[in-house]
Amino acid sequence: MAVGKMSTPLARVRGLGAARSGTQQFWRQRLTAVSNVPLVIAFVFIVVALLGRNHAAVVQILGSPLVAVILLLFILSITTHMRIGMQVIIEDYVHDEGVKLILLMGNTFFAVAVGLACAFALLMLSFKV
Amino acid sequence: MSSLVGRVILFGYTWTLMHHMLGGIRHLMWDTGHGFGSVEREWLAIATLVGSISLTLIIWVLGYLFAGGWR
Repeated sequence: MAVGKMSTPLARVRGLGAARSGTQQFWRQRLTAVSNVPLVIAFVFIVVALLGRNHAAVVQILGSPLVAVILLLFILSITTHMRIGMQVIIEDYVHDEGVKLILLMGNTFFAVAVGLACAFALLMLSFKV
Repeated sequence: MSSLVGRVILFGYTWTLMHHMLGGIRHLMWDTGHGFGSVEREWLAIATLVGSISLTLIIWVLGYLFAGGWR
């Protein structure tokens, strides 16, 4: 979108904002908030079902297709929600542009690393059974 | 789950997760434009707190009674 001197104030703000990405993140945070609800409930049930079981049983449960897919969806939804939530806090409270940029990058790196580490651990269990 | 410290941390995490979930549902409701009245806001704040503590206790009681938390 052209954002020059000739554009109206509405055109300048449309699609921008503090994150320079408009309402996409706002919408994605609501989307993952909704998907988190059933996934968190499923996650809690799965964790409770693991209580007191030995290592082999835990590997078998976590590696089963249905549980693994639910947990992979959970990881994707939770880490996306986590990343955007923290990003909003950084954008709102860190006013130094340089520090903000570094923190936003670090936040994204952290969320992606956590998500991939979780997914990798789960896939290891799924494919090594 | 074999250490007491681990259990306390997991209990705390259960509570924060439930509280965040109920608080989030409250925000989704507000996104639709409902629940902004002064009485409703107060009621929702209390309901979120009571609900999150109740859910946490229910999860842990279920864990110990039926899912082998003692083992």
